[in-house]
Amino acid sequence: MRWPPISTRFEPGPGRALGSTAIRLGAALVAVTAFSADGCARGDHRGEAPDPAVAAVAAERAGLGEPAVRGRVLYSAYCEVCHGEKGAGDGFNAYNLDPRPADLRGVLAARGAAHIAHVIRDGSASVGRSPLCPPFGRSLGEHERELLLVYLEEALAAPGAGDAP
Amino acid sequence: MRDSWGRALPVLAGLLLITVVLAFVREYGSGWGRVQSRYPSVRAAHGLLPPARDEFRPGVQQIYLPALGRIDRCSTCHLGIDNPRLAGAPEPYTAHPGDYLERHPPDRFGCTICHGGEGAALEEREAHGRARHSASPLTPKELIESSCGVCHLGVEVPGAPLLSRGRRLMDEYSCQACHEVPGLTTQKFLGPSWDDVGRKVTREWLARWLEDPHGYLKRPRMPRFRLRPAERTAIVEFLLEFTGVPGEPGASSALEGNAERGGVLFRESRCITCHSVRGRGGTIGPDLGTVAGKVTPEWLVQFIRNPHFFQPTTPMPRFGFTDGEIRDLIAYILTEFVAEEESAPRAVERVDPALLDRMGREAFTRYGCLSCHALAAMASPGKIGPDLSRIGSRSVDELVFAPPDTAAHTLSAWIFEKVRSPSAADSTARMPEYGFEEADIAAITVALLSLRGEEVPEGFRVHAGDEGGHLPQGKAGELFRNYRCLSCHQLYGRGGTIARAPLDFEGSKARREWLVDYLEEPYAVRVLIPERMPKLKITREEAELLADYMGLVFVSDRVAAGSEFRASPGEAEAGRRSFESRGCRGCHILGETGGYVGPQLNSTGIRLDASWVTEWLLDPRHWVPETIHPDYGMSREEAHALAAYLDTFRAGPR
Repeated sequence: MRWPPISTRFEPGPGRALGSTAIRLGAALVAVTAFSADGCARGDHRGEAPDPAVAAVAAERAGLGEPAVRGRVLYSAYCEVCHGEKGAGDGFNAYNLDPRPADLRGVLAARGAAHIAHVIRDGSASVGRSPLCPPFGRSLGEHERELLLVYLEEALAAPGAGDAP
Repeated sequence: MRDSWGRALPVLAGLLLITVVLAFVREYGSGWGRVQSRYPSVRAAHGLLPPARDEFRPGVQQIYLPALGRIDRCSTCHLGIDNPRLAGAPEPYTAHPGDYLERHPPDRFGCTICHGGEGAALEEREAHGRARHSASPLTPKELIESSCGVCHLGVEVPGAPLLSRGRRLMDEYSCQACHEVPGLTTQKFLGPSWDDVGRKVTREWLARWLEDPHGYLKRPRMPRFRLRPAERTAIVEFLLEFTGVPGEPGASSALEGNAERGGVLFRESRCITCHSVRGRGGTIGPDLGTVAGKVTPEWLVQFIRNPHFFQPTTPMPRFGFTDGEIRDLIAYILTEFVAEEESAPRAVERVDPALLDRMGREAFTRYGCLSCHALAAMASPGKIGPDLSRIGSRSVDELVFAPPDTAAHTLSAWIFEKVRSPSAADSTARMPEYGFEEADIAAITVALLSLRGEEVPEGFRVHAGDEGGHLPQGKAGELFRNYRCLSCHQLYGRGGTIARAPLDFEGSKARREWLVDYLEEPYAVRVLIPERMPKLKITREEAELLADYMGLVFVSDRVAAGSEFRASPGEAEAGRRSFESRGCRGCHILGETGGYVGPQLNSTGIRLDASWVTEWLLDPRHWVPETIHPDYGMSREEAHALAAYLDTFRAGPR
């Protein structure tokens, strides 16, 4: 078969029919592509609907970020028994202690993260206080201590903040 | 013909040109190109120099992981992912939070094994699996722990509380009874065996229980089956035919007991360590609040005398009660634990016995009752539910979302709704309703999403902690089983979690004489903990045998056997100073004052081996891995002095 020469003349004939077929095909292709792209966008729209599993986990986390949630686990294991669920220094063991455990609400802002990190690692005696808050530096690694600080910052930032659901 | 091609060719050429231009735009004007061009300025904003040439060459970055069958190009855009100094940078330049990458270096694990998404894709929409029909959407961060479960195969996965909770729940509710669940291979009967059910419970109670277990127990392990009334009647009548097994111990004739003495015995035996009474108490056994309306007195006598005869796997110990004591206990139970207002017994319709029998059997098979209850007369049908081994990799396109269909079309949403209410998700489902709360459903969803059926190489798998050591055998083993020690205590990674410290090294820790006395007459070592060791009526001979066994077997090399603890003069005084200056009193009672966090120490000298106390102080986590007892990093001298001081406290119980 010979390749057809490029025609510059407008001439009615079967070529026109074939040419217009190609144009129609091209137009149809563009239309289909556009339509399916549109379809993609619509399909994606479902992603906006709530996922109940995600919502249930988020509700359980009560607005805390993931590191704070991990910090909360450590807080309830190591700190809550004296400092209390909301950090008010009113834990179940608080009334056996003299001096009473510190109110942790807002303590991070008041004393600075470095100070608190120091107490968690080396105990309250290391900052010249009573020895009743023991050193947890060998039980909790640096990263875990960091998570505790994040929890203190997010959940126990100020008096009353711990009362949020 | 010539002319027709002449018309077509310019159009085709034009299309080709457009395609080529589009390809160029797509490849070089791409999102990732722009992302990389801004990288140096983001670094500068965080006080970093532009990346050195050996550190970063512009272009597609990829991690090739042949072992995992993955190619992850995520770091093409997520350029600062392993650079802690970019922790505050905006997406996609920010560093990975937490210490996850230290334990899971990206060059070994890549990204998509945890996060999902299309690792090889370079366009954000595709890479993040947001394109329609994407086989690998990005895992939402709330559910990311499901990915931990691909390699971490045990039930308890450290650092993944949600996944662990879901797996624990699945094991607790025995999903493996009806489903194939990788990792949960121990087949166990969730409910009691039924060989004696016809004599154990009343017809009215059984009918009400089958209608809705939540009406009797607050947190029943038995789910609610959607039985038609006729099916329920059939099952009740069918079950009541099973009235015992040959060779069972004879029923007691006299039942008159003294309820007052029974009440004392009930409290002394610490029944509420395992059973709750109207919501208060333990959770190992069922609530006893209204048990008088459930069981027959004759059965109760036999059960308390030897719980293991009818229920070989029950966690309930066989107490050493005399027959008189049992009668007193039962008198107490029957007068005390009655419903305040007994709902009117349901009229049970009478149907032809032959028909009932057939219906009962049919309903049994259909609902898989025998997956959870043992019945000697009938064989278990095995796993009647679908295989869940690959449920976490099911494609969204093959799922049917039941009306009202308002939730997202994701696998997690589908699983969540299915667990929440199997009948709402599929009206023909046989699976019963468990009535879980939402947080539990989410945890189970995460556990199910972890079952991707993905074969990771052995080197990546983290198996469940090995249960080392063998369980006690012989006479001691018999006592261990009889008194069900492992319903509460841990031994070599097995057993219950009610008791705080595992028994693994009890022989090195506790003094023999104290152990014998304590087993015979237990008392609270930890003042305020509600669960106490029950008074099991262990005889002195049995207590001595158990103490001897523990002294020989449950021992540690860290405490030299038979060595005498010798304290030099003045050591106890040094220990006293140490006790006060370290703040030990904050948690422990010594003398009159102290905290409630740890055990009271007034009987240390008769209770604990002082050499063990020394070793405990030097390394608490060796003995109890999850203890919160601080490790003070003290010297051996100081630990020895403290142990010497505490050894001088020899108060008896109370």
